Amino acid sequence: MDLMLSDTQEMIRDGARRFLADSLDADTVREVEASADGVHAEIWAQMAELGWTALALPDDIGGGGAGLADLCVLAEELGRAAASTPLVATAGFAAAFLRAVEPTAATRDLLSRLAASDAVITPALADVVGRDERSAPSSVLTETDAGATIAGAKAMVPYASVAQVLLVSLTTPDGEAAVVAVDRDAAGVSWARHGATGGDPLFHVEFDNVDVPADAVLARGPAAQRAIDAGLDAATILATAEAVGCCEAMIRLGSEYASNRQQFGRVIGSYQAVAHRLADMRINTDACRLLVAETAWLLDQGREATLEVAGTKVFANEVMVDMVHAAHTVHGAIGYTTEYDLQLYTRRARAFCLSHGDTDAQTERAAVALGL
Amino acid sequence: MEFEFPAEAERFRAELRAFMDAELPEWWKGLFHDDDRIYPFTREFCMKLAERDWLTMSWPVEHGGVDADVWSQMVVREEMWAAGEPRGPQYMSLNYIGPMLMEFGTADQQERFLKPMAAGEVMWCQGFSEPEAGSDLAALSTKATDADGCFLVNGQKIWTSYATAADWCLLLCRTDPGERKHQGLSMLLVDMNTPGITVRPIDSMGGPKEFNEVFFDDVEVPYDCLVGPRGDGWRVAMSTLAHERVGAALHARVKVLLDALIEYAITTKDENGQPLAMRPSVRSGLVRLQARYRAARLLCYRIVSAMAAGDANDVDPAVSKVFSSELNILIGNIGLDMVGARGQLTTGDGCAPLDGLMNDHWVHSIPQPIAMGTNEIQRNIIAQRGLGLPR
Repeated sequence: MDLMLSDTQEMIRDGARRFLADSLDADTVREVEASADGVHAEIWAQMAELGWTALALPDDIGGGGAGLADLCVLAEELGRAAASTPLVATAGFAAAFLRAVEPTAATRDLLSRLAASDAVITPALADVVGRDERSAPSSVLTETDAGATIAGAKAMVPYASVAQVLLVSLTTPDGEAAVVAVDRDAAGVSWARHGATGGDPLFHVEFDNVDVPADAVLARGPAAQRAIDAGLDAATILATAEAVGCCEAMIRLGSEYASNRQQFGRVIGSYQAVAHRLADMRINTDACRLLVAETAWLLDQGREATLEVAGTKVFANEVMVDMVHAAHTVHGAIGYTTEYDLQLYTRRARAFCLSHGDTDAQTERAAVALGL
Repeated sequence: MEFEFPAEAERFRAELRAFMDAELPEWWKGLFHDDDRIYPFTREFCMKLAERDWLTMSWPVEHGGVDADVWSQMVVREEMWAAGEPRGPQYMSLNYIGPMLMEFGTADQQERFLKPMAAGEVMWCQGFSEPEAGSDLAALSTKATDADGCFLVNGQKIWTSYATAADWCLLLCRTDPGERKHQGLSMLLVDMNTPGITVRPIDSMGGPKEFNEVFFDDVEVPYDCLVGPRGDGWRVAMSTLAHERVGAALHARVKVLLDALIEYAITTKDENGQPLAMRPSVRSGLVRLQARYRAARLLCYRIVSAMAAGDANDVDPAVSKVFSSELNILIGNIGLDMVGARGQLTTGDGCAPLDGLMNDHWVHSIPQPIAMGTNEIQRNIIAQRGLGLPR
């Protein structure tokens, strides 16, 4: 048992923190939020160059040979900086999904593109009518002589406008699940950005009878579902690590504000009603980080960790909703303004609670895993 | 990072569990119950642990320990707390009174007091809190004045657990005037059989014997029972309390209760013949508790990891104490609501679900956010030392 960061993890943390402090300030975050793609493209390109996006892929395919637990350290730093990058979609979901399906030339090719950090591969799972990523897709896959055709629409596809490949969940005419790798530039694919609260740009993507080759169908049936679960588990934990970073920023802003703002002749941080809310944020953020670290470690060991992933998300959702409002309470009216930085983080934290499995969905998964 | 106990510690856990299964009598329900058999049993139990070198395994060899690794020590704390602390009051001497003597005691004091502790023969109590000095401990007013070749102690302590059974008392009192209230305090070791000491049990929600008042009326304490420098008792006390918080494995009892509740939910049918486990509120409650149990355990392990790495701080124990004590409150309440109306029936009543386990836990969870430094004081520590907020 050793809960201290490893030397590698400390290096990742320190390196990422320095890099993000130098290259990303809150004004840039605002500019990117207002841009068409909503992505910190330069940050992502530099992260790719540094090998960080492929950090958790195996050595033998050209990755960094580290684990999800190490990647979580990086994700937390991105969260602290409110950086919008496809790390969760690509290094989280896509990498874990592609490693969980039956290997083929197509999956090996996609993995090597991830390892070479030259592709954004993003999940297109959530249905336009279904509740979330795990709901049965209404989009359909039909086999043809030349391969297959897909038709339908997906909601909340992250980073679609900068992606090269979409991993699309579909239903076959037999009612079977399937996942297809779709070239984002294929004829018939179109996208439009959603308005959304959080930091990830989300897109509505339509598939108007898009033809794909036969080997683009990466998985079918229960195997497809298992691979989606593997991808979502990794993405969930990585996204929770990012949200922990948002909480750290909320604590930092709140502590600074409470140490300087004076009312009734005293700095407000000397009032216990204020100080204790910040102390509770510290407690719950630490708890989240440790749950993330343990769960990532279990996944890195190849252990069954449905209970831990789902339980971590349920806990994080519960405490982060509280933290968002605690942070706003500490700041008073100024925290509600857009010129103040707090909203950059609280919007992201609240959107996180709804993404990657909301409380009801993850509670049910955890309950089944508990034997209930 | 590594999230498993060393194999050696797990082997030791299995051995310890087998020993406890054999040694804990049928009637044992935990330390905080009203039963005259408890204190004599805990003394016997500690002597048996001592025979196996398990009692003071965390202590260095020179003081009668075996210098056990920190994770084997954690195994002991978890297994004992899960079983309702069958070591009785002696966990205090093992976890922090002994280590305090190793840090501040003279060679003679160590020789005299550590040996009986290591043998499991002696019970201690802790005389810190006073009626007018609770969270504001340094405001205490019990005085030790210089008399004819000894101290003369006068004053009153309160909330003193185990004082009816204790052989010795670790007493924090005022020996000298000081400019500030933290100055002039001293730590004394007081034989509880000394004339002038009166113990009065305080009837509480937890039973008639959980807490006591202790009155000191011209109690003579030899000068060689002063531990640490005279007037520097505050530093000794703070070091002692830091050991106390590290020693607590409050999460271990939560696991016992959680397992019992899961089993109960699966095997108990509601009025419609459906298992309780099918109710959304029950599923949600148990999932929330399970995740919080994991977090409480990890927050506790983080303290130990940091200590092992030589990187300990004041804030992590405060974080752990708040989280774990509040989880104990939460599981008591979720558990009571889950078992329903009969949850209010007490242990021993044939109609009480889980033989009153949840009701019993609920009662004994009430002091947890208050004891060992209230959670409000812990939050002050987190805010001031952790976040740098002004006092």
